[in-house]
Amino acid sequence: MSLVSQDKPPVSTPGPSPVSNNALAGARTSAPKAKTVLVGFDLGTNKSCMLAGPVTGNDITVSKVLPTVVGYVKDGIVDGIIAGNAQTLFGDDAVRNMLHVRMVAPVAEGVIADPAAARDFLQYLRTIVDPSGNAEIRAVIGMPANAGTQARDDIRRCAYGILDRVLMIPEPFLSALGYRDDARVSQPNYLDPVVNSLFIDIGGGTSDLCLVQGYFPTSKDQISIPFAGDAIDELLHNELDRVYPNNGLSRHKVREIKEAHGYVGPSRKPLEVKVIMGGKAHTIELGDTLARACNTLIDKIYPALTTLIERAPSDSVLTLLQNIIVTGGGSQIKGIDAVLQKKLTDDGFESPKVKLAGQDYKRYVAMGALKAARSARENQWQVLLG
Amino acid sequence: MNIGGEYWSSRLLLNRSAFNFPAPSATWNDVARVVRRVCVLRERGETEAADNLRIGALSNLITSLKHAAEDPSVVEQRIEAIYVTEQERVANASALAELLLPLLTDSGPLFGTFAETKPQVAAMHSPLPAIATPPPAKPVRRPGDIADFLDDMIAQERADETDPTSRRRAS
Repeated sequence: MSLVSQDKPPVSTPGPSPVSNNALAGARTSAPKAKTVLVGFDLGTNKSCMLAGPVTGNDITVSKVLPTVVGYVKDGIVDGIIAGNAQTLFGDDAVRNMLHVRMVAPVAEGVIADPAAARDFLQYLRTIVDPSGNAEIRAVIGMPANAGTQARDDIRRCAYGILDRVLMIPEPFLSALGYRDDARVSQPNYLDPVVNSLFIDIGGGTSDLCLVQGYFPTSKDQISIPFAGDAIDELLHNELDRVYPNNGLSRHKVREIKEAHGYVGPSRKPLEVKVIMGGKAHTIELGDTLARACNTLIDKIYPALTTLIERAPSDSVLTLLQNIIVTGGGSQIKGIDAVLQKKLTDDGFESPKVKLAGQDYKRYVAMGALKAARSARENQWQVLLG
Repeated sequence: MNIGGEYWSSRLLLNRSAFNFPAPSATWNDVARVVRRVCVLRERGETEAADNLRIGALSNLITSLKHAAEDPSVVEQRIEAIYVTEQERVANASALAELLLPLLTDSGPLFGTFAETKPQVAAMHSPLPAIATPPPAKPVRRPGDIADFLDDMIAQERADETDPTSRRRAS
């Protein structure tokens, strides 16, 4: 896959790998586009968020969070079972019809895992922001911290013919941009996360940590760990299978349990959870099981956190320690801020303060991406070439 | 500086034609402000920036005025008069700055050229507080300069792409 910035002459390159997606037919035309729509994408392993708006102003015309999943309807499904007899479903529609579709996750560990499904997913998102198909779509796409060139090429290949121009930016940095309250930046007491902060973005596939200190983070400022929500689900599932053999719980159900009851820190017992096994209701004790699974996350990310703190310039550390922000789905694990803060304190770090990003944790990456899209100069956009 | 006959004739033109302009004063104020900036930039020797301003913002303002005026030639006359007026103001301000600077700093030559003294003037006591001074050549990065962050990012990406060891997925 090749790309050019707008100020460079285009170069001819081989076409993208063929994909079996009828929806893509005619997606790219050479006709002039009537308008331009800017999009901020957080293409997450489990959940994606998309915000879109016009080039000027701060309006957001589309705001959507959906599971990152494509459901291909199985053969032999009777007409009328699937609304509109659709052959491909996306996001919540796919989840609702999981019995009748082959579920495919386009993204794994933060990067493209199934290119064909990823193209279908992107095409679906495009139709939401531009139903007419006539607009030029420029998208800023979040990438895991330290994503390599292969991961970027995969995104470009999938976006070819669907998006007109793209920029790929590390997700923790976009989180900082999205989390930043622009209205308060000039206030003296406001701790601007873009000036000095440490973001811990715990997603489904990766946990990304990033120093944001008023310049674009270098590779040394970012650490990506392939352990996050999905890995906790797997640990939890294995533990449940060991203690309750033949429980029949799906991975989806296990994730629901984690999202409802997951916590870190000392074991909390009793923690009784009602589940359906074999059609019968059972109440199971999950205090220790959840603690073991979720505390593994702390074990994984804490060394990375201290590594980045130690890499920060000494003059910046005291302020930095006041601005450690946990975001992403993992920020919803109960006690994660308190446990990280206590560990830092116990290790002698000076008055650390670990905060949760808050209710909009699903949107910060996309919010930052849309801000970046609105700020990007014309020659910074990458034009995808086949 | 134009302080001779051309100035006075233009000044007369300005006064004489004032009644012919029902155009809103704010628009002419805008023109005067931009012309003043052009004159300041020229005085500082920043001719390229002055030309950019003249060709860009000023030209747009003039075009809109001409569209609104019954007689475009009258617009040109008034703009010429504004030029003369603003050139004189800037020249006077420069001379004043040259005189005041040594007194304020209590050092340096009493009489120097504008070019020699302009950095201190601009930095300490601008004689033209209403005129925006151009930013320094290499401004300190403001946190809000997202486009500059993106420049950094693109530079890093290009460096990575030339480094064969960078073809990692994640570290």
